[in-house]
Amino acid sequence: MPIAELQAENVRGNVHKDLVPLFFVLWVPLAIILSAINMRSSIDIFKQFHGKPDLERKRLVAGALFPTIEACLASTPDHARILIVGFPYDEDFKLDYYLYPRLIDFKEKDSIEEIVIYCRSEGIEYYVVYDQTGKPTVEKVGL
Amino acid sequence: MIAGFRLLAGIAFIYICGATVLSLLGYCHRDMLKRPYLLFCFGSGFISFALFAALLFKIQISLHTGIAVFLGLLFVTMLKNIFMRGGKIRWSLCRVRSDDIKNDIGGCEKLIRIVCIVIIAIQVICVLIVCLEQPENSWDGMARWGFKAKVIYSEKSVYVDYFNGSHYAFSHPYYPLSVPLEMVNIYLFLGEANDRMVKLVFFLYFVMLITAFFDIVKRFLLMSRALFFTALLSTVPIFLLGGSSAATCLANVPLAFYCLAAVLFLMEYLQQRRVEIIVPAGLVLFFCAFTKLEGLYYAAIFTIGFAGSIIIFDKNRRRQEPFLQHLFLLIGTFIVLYLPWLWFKALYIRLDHATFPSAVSLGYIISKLHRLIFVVPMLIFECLKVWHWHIAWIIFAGYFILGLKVRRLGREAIFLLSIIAGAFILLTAVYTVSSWWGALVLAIMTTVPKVITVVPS
Repeated sequence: MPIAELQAENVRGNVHKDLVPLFFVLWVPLAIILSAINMRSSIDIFKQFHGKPDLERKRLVAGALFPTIEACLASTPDHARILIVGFPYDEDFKLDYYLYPRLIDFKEKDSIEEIVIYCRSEGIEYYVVYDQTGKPTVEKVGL
Repeated sequence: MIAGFRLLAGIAFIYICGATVLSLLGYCHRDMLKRPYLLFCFGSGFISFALFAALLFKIQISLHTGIAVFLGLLFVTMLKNIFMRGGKIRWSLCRVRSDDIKNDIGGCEKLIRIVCIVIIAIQVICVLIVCLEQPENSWDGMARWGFKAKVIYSEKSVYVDYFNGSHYAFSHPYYPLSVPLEMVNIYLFLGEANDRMVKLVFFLYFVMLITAFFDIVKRFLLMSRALFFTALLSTVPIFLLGGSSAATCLANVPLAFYCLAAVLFLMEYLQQRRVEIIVPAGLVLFFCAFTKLEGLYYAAIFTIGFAGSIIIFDKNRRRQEPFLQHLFLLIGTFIVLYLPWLWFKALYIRLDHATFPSAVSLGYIISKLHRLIFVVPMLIFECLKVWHWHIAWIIFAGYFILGLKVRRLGREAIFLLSIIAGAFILLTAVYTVSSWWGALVLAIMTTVPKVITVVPS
């Protein structure tokens, strides 16, 4: 945008002055809509996350990742059914390392607080939460 | 509470390092507080480079090492300032136009100012809330940029399986390391890998980007106009919403920030022709290239546009000779800084898909040219999407057409236009030869937003 301004400054004086109010009028409604959407989304996030422990925040975020991970793994169907999407906060590096299902390895489970796996099998979607002892707990999230 | 203080210490460290680097480069001390974005730019860039250099030489990175390196830098800067007091060169970014606030207080102007300030403030607060409350939730942020940071932070090394093991190819280990190392710096201060708190750095990239933009535009325009264009930039939806927003741990906004800083320095040189600006410009070009793969291409586009605008406009041989020396200095500075990463990448990161560009031959390009019929309209269509760009490109087109009516284009205008043209040529070329043709629509839809990098221009 400053390009034409530079030209206008250099060559023709204050030509831009006539355009800014026009663009301002065009832009303001959009900016107000965008600001409203942005504010609404921020307030929702604030309500959803504020004051929660870090691990809980991570588990809340995990849900939002499903579609992306599904898309990324679409080309590898053997991996598409079971995905790690959440992990304990303090040890998340170790689980990040095993983000790819192929790399799931419970040898290090002693240092892992819990593992949350998103599964989709025969149309049923659910989390499997493994605690420190390796015991799985299944939580259905939808049919 | 303690984590909060540690985080603030990490952020303060970036600014202090930036001030020291700028002082070493001869930047005028009294101007530093006026331009916090410069401190952030040189601080974050220096920290990333220093961490990478340490890792390259197998030096154990820790908070103590970082502070020791900083003290070393501070010592050198002090020595330079003491012993070169007589002959030292001081420079600052000058202001072309003083703020003519008195001439700019009409009712309409006041309204524009107030509306713009309120809208900018809303965007900044919203991004801050998301950054502080929500852990990282984008795939790229978690599995690529954030993942690298965690690997490096945990292993305290770059010579690990991650960088050459095919198991980790999903994470694109060959991506440049500036952003992950910036995150590592914060982790070192926090004492843990915390991908929620680290997002404050990304919030700062956003704030510094719009601050820098405002500072640059203010040189050429009245205050209300400068505020309008800044508000326009801050409301570009790509910055605010979706998976590549400023509230995610991605490299898009950092790259946009460094690119803007590079443009600032190169434009400053175009106006002032001062050699002192060349080394900082080379540094910032390196920061671009070390942030994202396309940063390297942008650095090349900037340099070509910069050199071209001088060669075309300045027919005077006397002025061209020193410019050529300065150009070599600029390119030399960049190459010296970029070589270590290039060396590491060539020798240590050996992944098949990382070498795709070297497999592109002239015959291959010619065989893919028919794709242009599809790629060009798709790019234009994407840029017109209000949901991604609101009316930013429409306004740009309006001004561009107006600019065409003006017979003589200035040096700076040619330079800026060449950047935008170069970015689109780059995108078109990448999509035309892409091996990801089957998913091209998806590719264009997800990557066109990366033009965000040149939008500030």
